[in-house]
Amino acid sequence: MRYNSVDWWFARQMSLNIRERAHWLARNVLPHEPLIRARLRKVYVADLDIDDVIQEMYTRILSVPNMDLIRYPRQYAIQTAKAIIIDHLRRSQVIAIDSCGSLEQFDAAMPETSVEERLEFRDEIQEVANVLAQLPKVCQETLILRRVEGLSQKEAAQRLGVSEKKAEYYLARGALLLVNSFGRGGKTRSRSSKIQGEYVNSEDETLKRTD
Amino acid sequence: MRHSSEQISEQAADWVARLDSGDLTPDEQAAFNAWLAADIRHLGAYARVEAGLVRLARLRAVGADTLRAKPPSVAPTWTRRRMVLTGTTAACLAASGLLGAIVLKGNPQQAFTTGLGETRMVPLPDGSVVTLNTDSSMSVRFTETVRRIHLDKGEAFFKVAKNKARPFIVDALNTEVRAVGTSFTVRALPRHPVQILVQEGVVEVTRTGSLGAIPVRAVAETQAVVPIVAPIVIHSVPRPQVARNLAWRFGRIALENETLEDAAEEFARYSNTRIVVDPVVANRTVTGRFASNDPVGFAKAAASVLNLHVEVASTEVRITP
Repeated sequence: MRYNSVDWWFARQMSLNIRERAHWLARNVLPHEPLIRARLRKVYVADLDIDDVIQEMYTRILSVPNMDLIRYPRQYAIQTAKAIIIDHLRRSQVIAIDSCGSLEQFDAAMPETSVEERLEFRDEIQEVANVLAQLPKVCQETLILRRVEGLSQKEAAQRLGVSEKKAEYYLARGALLLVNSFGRGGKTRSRSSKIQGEYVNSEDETLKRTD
Repeated sequence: MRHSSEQISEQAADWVARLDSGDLTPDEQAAFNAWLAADIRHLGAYARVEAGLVRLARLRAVGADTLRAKPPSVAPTWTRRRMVLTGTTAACLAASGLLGAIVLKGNPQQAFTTGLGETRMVPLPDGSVVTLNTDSSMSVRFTETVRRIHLDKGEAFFKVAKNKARPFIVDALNTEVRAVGTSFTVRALPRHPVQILVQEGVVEVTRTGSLGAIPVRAVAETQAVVPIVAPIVIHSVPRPQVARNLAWRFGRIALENETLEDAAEEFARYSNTRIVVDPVVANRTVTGRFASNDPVGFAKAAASVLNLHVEVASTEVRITP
């Protein structure tokens, strides 16, 4: 999949204030990535790589000049993903299998403010802590030193007793595992886990996904 | 050269860490700009990793000491509400927690299994990550000098963290695979020879149990097949096919002109619902990506494209002319 729909000069400018825009993405898109992936998994399209779509979706959202004007970020993200699939179908030479039927469902609306959307601050913190806890120990420690305690790379390397290069590697590795876990539903929201099943109670019924 | 989305995510994470470490040299800045412009996915992948770190920074409200002390018990309300985890996440949490505790304390071995249709990501304490495919089991034994994995059955993808001093060795049936830093899958299915598919780097493949066995090197984008007696065969696998063969990690089966019969066998690895193909149409071929846990959906999609019929029963789905 290669597209020219984004103005590259513009994209480069965007990268300059990307830190700032990452806050918007962290709040409005990243938490919905598992839902978008779940919908992508239901679409039968030849040679469609879900991660390709997700990455391009972030690029396209970043190309919006003023993201604060996006009123319904989740639905916007879903429609962006759908547009990418449609572009892919248009230029793909491989036959799409059963794609039309499932694409109609793809951006079916769901209530914008379900219970689970208004994640309480505490729940959000808990989820992030859970995801962090599943990373390899050395990555956890690096992420805590750099992004929770706010140490510089040099200071973090000293605390870890490793070279700066190694500290940089652990940060890269940890950041990658972290975001992939967020994206693949490191969010703790299933109703049918065998492992922690005893904690399922009726209250979870109110947290049912509406799609 | 077109990179896979996975490689792009890795590159993005490397850039995030590089930019985070301080100011770039002019050369690095130019390289970063060139990278951003090279593929539409790059900017998005980069921003996504940044967003992950922003989300992580919310833990400042908790404090580093609390996180180090006992990470998964920050909020007292959680037992009532969200103790329920997705299968995979729960597995990962359980796995990494157990493994971290056990391996670091020097306990010799830890086992992991997946059921039919399940995949499981297992982060290892050295930074390597194993993804177990459906119906698989493995045990992990790490020592100071060697990282050893025994794949009892099934299929696993290994993303090995580089450490020359501590080789990473996978054994399965009659085969031993030795890696330093690379990524590859090992597949040990009943009635099939062991197969190793190398995505990146180099591995050494040895048939175990034979005297004076000579290791065979398999490089990136090649597959090694280890029959019971015949010599180990290495053949090259084009990059798109490597990606297709790894589609299971994302819950997909990717088919490229495969016969319905072969497709049915592949789906049988993931689900109890069998696809039964009428012999008359068994050689018809199909291309596409499908959810591996949805044989019925596949059968319907394939039938609609090939103009065939589908009968769905409780334990099987039939494809007929």
